[in-house]
This record gives sequence, structure tokens and C-alpha cells, in this order.
Amino acid sequence: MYEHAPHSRFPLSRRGSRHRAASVVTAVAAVAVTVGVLAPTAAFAGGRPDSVQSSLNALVKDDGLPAALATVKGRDGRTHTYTAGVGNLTTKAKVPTDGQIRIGSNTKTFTAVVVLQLVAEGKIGLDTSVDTYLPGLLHGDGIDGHNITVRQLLQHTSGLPEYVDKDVILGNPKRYYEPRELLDAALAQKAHFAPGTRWEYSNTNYLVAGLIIQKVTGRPLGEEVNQRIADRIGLRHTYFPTPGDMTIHEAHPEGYNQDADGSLHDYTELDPSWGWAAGGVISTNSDLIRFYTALLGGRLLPAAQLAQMRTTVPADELGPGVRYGLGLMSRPLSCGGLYWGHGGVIPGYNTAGGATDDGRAANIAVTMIPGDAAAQHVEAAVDSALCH
Amino acid sequence: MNVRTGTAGGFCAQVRRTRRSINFTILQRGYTVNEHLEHNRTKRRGLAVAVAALAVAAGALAPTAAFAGGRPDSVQSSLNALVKDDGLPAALATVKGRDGRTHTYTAGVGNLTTKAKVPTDGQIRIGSNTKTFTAVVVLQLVAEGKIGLDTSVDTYLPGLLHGDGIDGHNITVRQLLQHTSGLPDYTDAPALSDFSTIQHRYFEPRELLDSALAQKARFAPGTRWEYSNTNYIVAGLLIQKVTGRPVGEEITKRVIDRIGLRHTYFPTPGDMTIHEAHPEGYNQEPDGSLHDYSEMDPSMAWAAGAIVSTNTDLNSFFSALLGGRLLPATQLAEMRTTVPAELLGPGVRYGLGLQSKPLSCGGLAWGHGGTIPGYRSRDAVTDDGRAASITVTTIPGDAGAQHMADALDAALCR
Repeated sequence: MYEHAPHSRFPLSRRGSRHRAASVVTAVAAVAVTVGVLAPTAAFAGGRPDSVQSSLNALVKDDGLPAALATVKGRDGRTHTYTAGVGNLTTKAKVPTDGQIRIGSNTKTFTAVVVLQLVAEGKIGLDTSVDTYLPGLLHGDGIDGHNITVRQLLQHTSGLPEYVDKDVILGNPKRYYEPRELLDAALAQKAHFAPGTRWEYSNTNYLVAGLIIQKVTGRPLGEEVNQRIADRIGLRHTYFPTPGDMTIHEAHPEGYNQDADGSLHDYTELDPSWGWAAGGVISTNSDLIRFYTALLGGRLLPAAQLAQMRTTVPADELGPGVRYGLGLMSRPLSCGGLYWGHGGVIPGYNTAGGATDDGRAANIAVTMIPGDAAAQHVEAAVDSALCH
Repeated sequence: MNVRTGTAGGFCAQVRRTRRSINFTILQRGYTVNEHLEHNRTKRRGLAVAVAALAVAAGALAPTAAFAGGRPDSVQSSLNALVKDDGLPAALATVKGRDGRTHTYTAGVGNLTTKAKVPTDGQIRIGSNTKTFTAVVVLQLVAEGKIGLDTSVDTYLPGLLHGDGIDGHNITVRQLLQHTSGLPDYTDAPALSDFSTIQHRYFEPRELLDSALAQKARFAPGTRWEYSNTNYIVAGLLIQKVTGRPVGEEITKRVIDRIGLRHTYFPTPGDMTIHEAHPEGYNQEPDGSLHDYSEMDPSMAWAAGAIVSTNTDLNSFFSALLGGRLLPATQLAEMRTTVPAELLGPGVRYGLGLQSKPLSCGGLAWGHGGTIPGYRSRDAVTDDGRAASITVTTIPGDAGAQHMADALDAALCR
């Protein structure tokens, strides 16, 4: 499967080999220096771009990404939006300010929040077996829903094999998949490990979480996400696409994917059904900042469930010092402390960012899945935006 | 089980329950996405009598239509009787006569609380008429060489159909469309049997299928005919697999948009509303009271029964189908190749998502009919261009159901 290909960064969150993790450490160290150099610029008066703008400009100019967009809420509580590059490589159209983007695996945080709301309502037990809610659904070679808990799904400790096959998705981006068809692809493989014995990112965990939400609520997942999160905290530019909807509803930069020959192909219109509960949502940088801020601020979950969500295990595969809670990651900041978010990668778009407990927040989107170096620059730009 | 408690019934389970000698009271309560509450041998004799009587009645009524002045014609009289005598909240019809002219009719009230008028040609849930739409898409894909009618289901959906006596290797696409697969009906599952508890429940298609596959095969594929909604759930999954698109999108593109059915749509997952003006549909609760069921999640019926349409659009659809505007001649001929389906009524035969029914005035009418909580439709068209569709806004009892069938026959024969 693709996840054994060391440089594949495809599924909805990036993962690296140990080799990459090492290079990340170097890059983060380099960033810390850069941040030091750039920090004073922000204080300059006049027309010079601030450090966030400079980071975005560099992502476009040096890393060759078609566009970069950001929303940053600083220590002063004020929010700024930024754009760089072009929204459409053919027409050279401007990047819409705070345009809509596919947020990929940030969707997992939305899904986890709904599950945890249902936990708070007493409808789901976090340490109850998946089989209790979806009898007989999870079975296969080393796979048994009786032995996998809801927590293990949200935490990526279930051992469930991955359903996403990058080449299949990229080869036919407009194909519609039933959630259960995706699950079949996972269950045809062997369990990766016994539940609870390891941590390993698998989109399948969130696919199953989505099916649990539907079973327990009796409503489509998208409706629950829209009502329980987007409507509740007023994320007016965020939605879970209706099955079959391949468009992005509001103004947006086009998303591109680099084909094998290096050429860029417009992947904006694609059927996100393969991402579903693990990666289907469309949003904006500003809405993502509102979302993570509201989540950390206790506006989406009672304290007990938020505490569970923030209880993390090491997830160094995602980067040095990264830890994974329940659909939520913590990442250390170069200026001390950490921030909470998730990030997401889907053909056409890569997003990184989150919020700190003291109210800072930053989210950056680029309109193509970046290569290793550029991906590092995106992470560094988030760190810089939160630290400056 | 619900059969014993008498609280509800599956969409088509009634046919089998009849054979199992379940009493009539329960049968009358049965709800169905297709129909067919009334088909044991006793009833069929009764029906034969009724059809004969109808032939006479039609003869007697025919002149009325020719009268000038304010007297209602025979269709209007039939609808009035469905409301007045059978106690149905509303009845609506669209009839295209021998003269090629189309008339619409309404009777009763659109809303029992407000007493609002029934909207002319209002939207309705057409239940199992959806099966004809699904069958048309499958047959279009056959014409395109993407599906083989006598190819096994397992070829397209590997490993999907397996269970006690169930094996997708041994079931052909034709057997699905023809109801000769032996697949058990998912609506027999306890969780799906009581409509009062699932009005707003969303089901994944595969969840419906799971409910079917947990049961034993009814018979070996090809050895018998038995109506099962499961056949059309599988057909829907087949369409999705072969086209790579949601079944609703394929039906919309390949059928609804193609022939311009402007008031017809396949609801998006989660959509519980009826978009345009419509009479409210009512479900009879176990205590006999009528409960407004217009807003419901039709995912429980999906490719077997989810579509919203109008009587006029249904006439247009079946006319276009028989007129060769949706399928090449070869596939239309396959669709019209029927097997006996006496369980649906005397002389009724089932093709591929299409039923033929003898008319009291001679010849055959083609259609399907459909029942879903809130609405029942009876519809048919003839090869010479007559068309009729009648809908009532609660599932009628045995007598009312018979009166609907009679009214349809009368509308086509006058």
C-alpha cells in the first residue's frame, strides 16, 4: 500500500519515515533562526509586508506553489488575512481573500467533536467496543470490532488498515464511493497490530467513526457535522458536501495536483466521498481558526470530553514532538508552549495550523500538495505566525 | 416480531405473510413501498368479481364524461368516492385519454388540520415506481455494454452478496430486476418494519442490504418469482459501481433531465422534505389515527422507492419509456418480457421493473405503482398512448386499494 512508500505524502495527514523526521528537526531549528531574523520586520511601519506575508510570498516564489492563503489572529486579538500567488494558473485570477478550500483531515477534528458530543449525551461510550454500535461490521484478518474501542478509533490506536489508495483516488478523482465500499477496501487487508498496542494514523478509523455517528443519531454524518458544529458556532463558510457534490460553493483558489511528469493539473472539482468523515469538509482559514478557538474555548464540548480530546499519545511520525489526542494534535512551538490543531492534505490543497490556549491562532493553506521542503516551510510559517 | 404484535409490516412482506395465513387485520395494517397487500387466493377471486363489476360500471359511467355541464366525469367520481367512501384524506389523478388530451383531478383536502386544498398535480412520493427508473438506468448501461443482463452480480460487486443460501455468483442482473433472485426483503428486518419509529431515520444503502443478508435466501435464483425490495437496492449499488456516481445523479441525468420531468427528483441523502406544492401524506398508526408522514427520510427506500414526482410526470415517464425515448428497442423488449406475478393481482405479469396488467376493456396497461408511508400511486399507460396515474395520501385498506385499481382501469378504459 501507498503508506509504505516513504515519500508519499498523500493521505489526509502527512506522515514521514524516520529519515524524514530527522530532517524535520533540522528544518525546525533553521526556522527558529529565521523567525528571529524576521520578527522585527513586523514592527516596521509602512508598506513592507509583515512576516506572514513574507512567508506566503516565499511559498509561492521559492517553493513554486500556485497560491498560499493565511488567516492569523495575533497576541493582540486582531485577525489578519493574507494571500499570495494566483487563484487560477490559466487565467491568473487573484486569490480570493479567505477563499474556500478543501480542508482534508481537519475534518477528523469535526468528526471527533461530534462523537464526543454524543459521549457527553450518554449515547456513546468512549471505551465501549465498536461492535456495540455496529454489530458485526468490523471483522477480518486480525480485525474484530469487539476488541476495538471508540477511543482507539479517534486516537489511531485501533490497528485498522488504511483504505485510502492514493493512486486509485488520483487516477479517478470524480468517482463516488459509498462509505461502506471504502470500508470493504480496508477490511480486505490484515490488521496492522492488535488494538491499543501501537499508534498508527489510518483514515479508516474516522470512516468507522462516521458510521457510528450515523448509527447512533440516525442521520447522515454531514447533517450532524453541519448542525452540531458549523451552525452552532456560526462557521458560515464551512460545510460537509452533500454526497455527489464535486464543487466548492464559494469563491476559492483552484487546487492543483502535480502529475508524474511534473505538470500541474486542476483538481478543484473532485468527489470528496472518498474522504468523507476522514476528509470531506470544505472551509476557510478564518473558519478553521474560529473552529479551533471555539473548541479549545469549551464552546463545542463539555470540559470532561474536551479533556479526553486533549489527552495525547506520542505521534512522532507526524513530526518531532507531535502528539495525538482524539482527532486533535498538539505541536510544540519554537517560542515555547504548543498549539492545537490537525492539518489536512487532499489533492489540490494542504492546510496547517491551529490555536493556542491563550487565544492566538493561525491557519495557512496552499493550493497544491507541497513537496517535502515546501511542506516544511508551511509548518514553519505557522510556527512563525503564532510566535511572532 | 411485528407480525405477531400486529404493529407494522414490511414493504412487501405482506405477500408472504398472507401465504403464512396471517390474519387480515394485520395485512391491512401492512405498509409497503411497493403495494400488494391484497393478494391471497380469496382476494384474487374477489378481485376478479370486482374487475367484472367494474367493466359494467365503466360502461355505465362512460356516457357521463360526454355530458355537458357541471357533473363530474367518471375519474372525478372515482376520486370523490375514494375520499368519501374509503375515508382517504385526498386523491389526485392525471389522465390522458384516447383523444390525447390530459386532465388533472383532485378530491379531498391537502392537509387534514388546515383543510387546505389539494394542490393540482401536487408532488407525491412515488414509492416503488422508483424501481422502473432504476431498471431503466441499468438497461441503459446494458445497452452501453457496461453491464450484462445475464452476468452475475458478483462480477460487478465482488463478494457483496453472500449469506445463508445467498451467493452473488449465482444471481444475475436480470434476476434482480425481475424479482427472481431469491434475495430476502430487507423490509422484513425488525428494525425496518415499524414505520412509526423510522420516519426520520437515515439508512446507508449497505445498512439496508445488511438487513437482507442476515436472512436466509427465499429460494434458489431463477426458480421462483417473489417481490423483494432488496433486488433494487443491489441494482442501485450496481449502478453506482459501474458509473462511479451516486444513483440519484445517474437517474437524474439519464432519465429525469433527459425527458424533462420538471417536477421529479431523487432526494439528496438526508433530504426529508417534498420540494414543491404537495398534499400531506398520512400514515395510519396502530391505533388507527392518521399521522402526518410527508416529511420523512426516504433513504429507507432508496433505489427501490425514494423518488418524488407528480401524477403528470409519471404519465410522461411511462409514456416516454414505452415510446422508446429512454431505451433502445432491444432493451425495451427485455424490459417488457414478463413472467407471471399473480401475487400482484390477477393477470399481472412482471418484466424488468415494469408490470403489465390486463384492462377490463381489453389489452394491457404498463406501469408499476408504488406505496410508501403517506402515499400510494397506481399508474399505467397503454401502447396506443392512453395514460393514467392516481395517487391517494394514505395507504388504503383492502377495499380502498381495490377501488384505486378499479379507478385506474376505468380511467384507461372509458
